[in-house]
Amino acid sequence: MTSEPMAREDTPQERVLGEDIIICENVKKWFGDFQALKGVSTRVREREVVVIIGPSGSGKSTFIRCLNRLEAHQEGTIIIDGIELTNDLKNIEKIRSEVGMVFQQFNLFPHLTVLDNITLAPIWVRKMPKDEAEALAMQLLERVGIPEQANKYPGQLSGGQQQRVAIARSLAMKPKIMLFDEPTSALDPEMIKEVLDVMKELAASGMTMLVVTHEMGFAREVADRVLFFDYGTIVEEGTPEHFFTNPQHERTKLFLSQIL
Amino acid sequence: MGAREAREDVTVEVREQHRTPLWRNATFLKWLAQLGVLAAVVALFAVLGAQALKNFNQSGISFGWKWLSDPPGISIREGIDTLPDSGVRAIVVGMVNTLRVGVSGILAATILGTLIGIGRLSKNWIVNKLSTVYVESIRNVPLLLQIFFWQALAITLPSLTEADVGTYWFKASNKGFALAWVRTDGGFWPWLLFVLVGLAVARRVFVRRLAHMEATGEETHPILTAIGVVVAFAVVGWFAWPLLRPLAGLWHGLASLFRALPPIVYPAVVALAAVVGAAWWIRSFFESRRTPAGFGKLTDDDWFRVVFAVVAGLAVAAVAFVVGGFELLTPAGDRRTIAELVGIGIANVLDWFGRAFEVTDGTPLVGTRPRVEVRGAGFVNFSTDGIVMSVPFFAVWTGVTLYTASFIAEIVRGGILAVPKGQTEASMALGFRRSQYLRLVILPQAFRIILPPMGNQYLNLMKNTSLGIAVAFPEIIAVGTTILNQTGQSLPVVLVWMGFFLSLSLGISAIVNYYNRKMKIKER
Repeated sequence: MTSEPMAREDTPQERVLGEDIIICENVKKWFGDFQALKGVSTRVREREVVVIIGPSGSGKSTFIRCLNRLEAHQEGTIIIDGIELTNDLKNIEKIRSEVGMVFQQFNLFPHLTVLDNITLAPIWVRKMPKDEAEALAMQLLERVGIPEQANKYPGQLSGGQQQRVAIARSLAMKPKIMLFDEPTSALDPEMIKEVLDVMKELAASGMTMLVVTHEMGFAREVADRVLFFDYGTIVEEGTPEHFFTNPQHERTKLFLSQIL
Repeated sequence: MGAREAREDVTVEVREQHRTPLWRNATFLKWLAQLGVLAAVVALFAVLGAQALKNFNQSGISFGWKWLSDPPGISIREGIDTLPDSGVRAIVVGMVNTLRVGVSGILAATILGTLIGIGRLSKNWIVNKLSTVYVESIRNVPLLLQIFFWQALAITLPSLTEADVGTYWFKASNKGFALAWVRTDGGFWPWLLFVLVGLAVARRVFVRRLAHMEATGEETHPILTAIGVVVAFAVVGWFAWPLLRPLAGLWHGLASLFRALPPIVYPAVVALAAVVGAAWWIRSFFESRRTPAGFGKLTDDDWFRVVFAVVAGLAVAAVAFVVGGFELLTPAGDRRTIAELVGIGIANVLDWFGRAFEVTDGTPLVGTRPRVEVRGAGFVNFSTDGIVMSVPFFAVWTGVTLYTASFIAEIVRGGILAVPKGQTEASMALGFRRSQYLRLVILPQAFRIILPPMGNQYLNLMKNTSLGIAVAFPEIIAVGTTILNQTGQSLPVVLVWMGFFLSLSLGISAIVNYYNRKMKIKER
């Protein structure tokens, strides 16, 4: 029934990377006594696709959750599109409306239809007229391949369809950056592909993306750069080719040998 | 190969041998059980009723409803009428007192409980701990004890003396708490009509403004506009109410219409409603069993429900005619059937409205301030001005409100906690402000979880008001007990109590269930 999302065969090399849009300097974060981030520094360029891998508890999720202030970092600097993330509520609001996020558990609003899920934020946060928001929502549902589900409720959809709605919901805010926190980890194997295809299409269209995932195939095919996290730091980073054929660090080698 | 043939063999074998005896037939047994339980319930009531009648006859007490029309010979300490002229009137005073405590208690307990429930989730340490202490201390002390506590507290207030004589905005004493208030005056009812029409118009305006705002993104201030419309109608009505005087004729005309109708109409209307209701229910039931492929196969349970609906509809219709034909003795001394009395009652209410519209002077509402005055030698008390919350009312109201609020607080807390954290995170990631996502995402989901247990608390509060008898608050149980002691009509009085609380509870349940169904999340 669901029409396949159009997976264009653009290769990552065809995208021209722009200026630095995310700048992190020595970011540190504690949960009580436990230090989750021990000084993370990296830069992400416009239109770049960065895949973050690492064992569980390595701080990779915490790191991307710091980028839209779902967690507050305690030391260091994070600058998104020229705006520094601080306690300033206005800056946080601005950054959140430019950074979309997709969660492992989808987190769709169960009391609203698919269409209302997508239009809620544009109408209330962006103050977009309702017809315009609905037209945009239908266009996005078309893009993720499930326009026929617009009037159903999230509970009536499969996991893969729900995650595609969640992606459409984020895109409706026209973000400059998309964060993906293990978007396929809660899905049955046969549904992973439909979500990854949507993400590939998104990457090809020039979206800046940070993706925490265990899907090595996706990293190899789409990523410009792979970051390997362990114990709250970036242990190793490089192109997928470097990463999967010639890893330098012992911990990276061990991790890859366990999951490949 | 072999497997397929073997299966066909088995089918043939079963077909030949099949003949289920009745005692093993699940369908037959199910019907037998359903009808058996129904018959047993009916039989039980018949036996109990017959036995009760026999006992009453032997004891020499004749039960009846004459006490409803007789003067009860009691005075009631507070309420809409302190010297009722009939049993019915006394019972009504008690009912109104119960409803006053119950309804205002439900409103106050809901607000207080919600605030404390949210307080228990607060990150502010002091608010959080205070809320916890409140809940834990209040809900762990018996309600009766708390009502006694509030009564004891109020009684320690200073008594009124001749030095207190005067007019006040607010005055606390051991006679109760008096507060400036408004009372209705000439022109109130025509003015109320203006306000009601204003509310209806405001509702339409609100809906249209909201739709416009959603459609275009323009800020149209729907709530402010709606309030403005109501205020405008109220202000215009304040001066224009005498213009509605011609409506009095309409009310009186309707009243004479009801007087002219043959009394048989009233039971007929009830019977018709019952039959039409049953038919409508059966129709919608069949609709609900319809699938795109046509009507699904109805199960035995489904058929039982249909049969039950038919029987219930016809039974209600029959009961309406029987009850309508009962004769009662009126205070005037003549015998009237209940159907006739219903007609007279409706006509009287309409006439009363007619007279209310004939008034030409006065203002719809008048402010009054409580006055302390000397009444007889050395006896100082509040006059009837303002509104006086008596000590018993205060004790019962404070008791049930605080007690129920502690349970509501836990329900609200649980409801909010039950909404997954991911909903908040997703809302924040989309850029919603806290007030926005609470209203649009969290509360609508928490409300669904909160609603059913909240309904239980409302029912409990209503029933708990009957503890008012312990502090001599004249609610329906206290009034009924007094009448019962005077007349010995125990069974009829108890039936009135049960009927009152049952219809109250069923009413609250119906409202809660309606919202519950309306708010249900669709899952498949």
